[in-house]
Amino acid sequence: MDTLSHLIEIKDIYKSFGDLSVLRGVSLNVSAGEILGIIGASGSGKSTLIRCINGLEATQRGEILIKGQRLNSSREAVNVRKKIGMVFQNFNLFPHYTVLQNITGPCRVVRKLSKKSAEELGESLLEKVRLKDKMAQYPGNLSGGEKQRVAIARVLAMEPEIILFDEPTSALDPELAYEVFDIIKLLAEDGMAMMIVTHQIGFIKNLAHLILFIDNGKIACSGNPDYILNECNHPHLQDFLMRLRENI
Amino acid sequence: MELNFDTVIRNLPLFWQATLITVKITVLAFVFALIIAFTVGVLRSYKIPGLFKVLLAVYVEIFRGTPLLIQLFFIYYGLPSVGIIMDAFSAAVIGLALNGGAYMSESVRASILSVSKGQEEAAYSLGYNKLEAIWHIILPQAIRVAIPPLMNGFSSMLKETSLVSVISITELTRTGNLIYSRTARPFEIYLTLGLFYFVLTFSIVLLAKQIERKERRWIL
Ligand SMILES: Nc1ncnc2c1ncn2[C@@H]1O[C@H](COP(=O)(O)OP(=O)(O)O)[C@@H](O)[C@H]1O
Ligand SMILES: [Mg+2]
Repeated sequence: MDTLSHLIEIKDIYKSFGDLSVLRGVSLNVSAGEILGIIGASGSGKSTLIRCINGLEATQRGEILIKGQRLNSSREAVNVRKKIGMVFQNFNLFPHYTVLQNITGPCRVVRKLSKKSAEELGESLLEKVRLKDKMAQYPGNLSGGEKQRVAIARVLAMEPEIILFDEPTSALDPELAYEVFDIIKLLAEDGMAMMIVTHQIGFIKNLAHLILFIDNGKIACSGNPDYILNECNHPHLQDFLMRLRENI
Repeated sequence: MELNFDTVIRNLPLFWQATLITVKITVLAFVFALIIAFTVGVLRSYKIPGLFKVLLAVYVEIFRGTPLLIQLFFIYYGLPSVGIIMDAFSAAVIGLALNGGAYMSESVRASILSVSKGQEEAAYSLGYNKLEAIWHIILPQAIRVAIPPLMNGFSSMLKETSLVSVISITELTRTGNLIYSRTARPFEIYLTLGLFYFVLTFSIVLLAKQIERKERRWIL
């Protein structure tokens, strides 16, 4: 595959916080329409990896290319970020905006859409995540599942080429998690490229083209879901999967 | 002792005039203090060049660490020695604004810190630049937190205008003193003076309640 067809190219990145080295030589590529699952124990560096990709953290070594563009200075980061959507574990909706304004606000500020077209887009996206009846509410009045669906609609409004999910359902009760999974499945059907950090193996194994197991700041094992779940015999992966199964 | 409010009633027009001056100084100083507080508070909450940061910190600490009375004397009587001359009214407004701005900038800074880091990150990840994130996302949430302490600052400032009587501004306190020196009715005069101040500060309390109610439409 030639480099131009990669949406994201990560070449041997390192990241540490003070003495704590969190990413220790991570390389990966993501192409259009590709879905990557990322699994790994808590503290292994999954969030840090995701946050480096959209420039919320700066790397110390290595290179990150978004559609061939380097993510270096903060000025470039602002532009590059517009192509990357991010869904957070704790939603980070804007509490002072209504549900609709959470979508129209960024559309007007970042995409410079008119009020009217921002609202049309907002309403159609809320329809897509089945929350149009809540559009006048403030996020503080929504359930966790509803909040995350609004957050996804908000990201979609920016027309990203890839969406990064950092444990999108970890803050949700299991029965609410399915509302969010259903929306993510819809996105997969639309061909959206995604990187999804999750502990929900059952969900990701049916969706991801590739699963990466992060261990100690490195990709310890990667392959299709079947390989990761049944064949890869990295001892830490086996332990990790066993612990997940016990918890479920 | 026999109370006699005749003196007060005869001098009511003077009290009214003085009230107007007190209100004028307070409102002007508060508006300037707000501008200073938001500018300094926002700048001190973000990464800015070191020298600039030190200068702002020095400003805040000096004005919080010295008496307002001395600041007023310095501005009105001291600055003319270095060629900066202004009328008493301007000196009063500037003194109160610089003093209030220093205190209130700390409230603004605390309110900005109270907005979760995730809000800023969400804004950046959607493509907001720094200024857009501050203006549209951080400040509107911070302001709600800042309103009670800022309105508190407003009412403190009103009471502190009492001090500007020493640079010969005929606001409420000085007017009271002048009437007292002519009539020797301190009890009635200072009681009335207190009542005037109380009505004014209480109006600010009511205004603050009104604003807070409006801001309560969203919850976290
Ligand atoms: N801003 C930070 N400052 C210091 N340490 C951090 C910071 N962010 C993450 N870490 C540390 O880096 C390690 C990896 O964190 P993280 O990427 O969040 O792991 P994961 O998402 O896989 O649970 C953890 O030990 C965490 O405490
Ligand atoms: Mg994490």
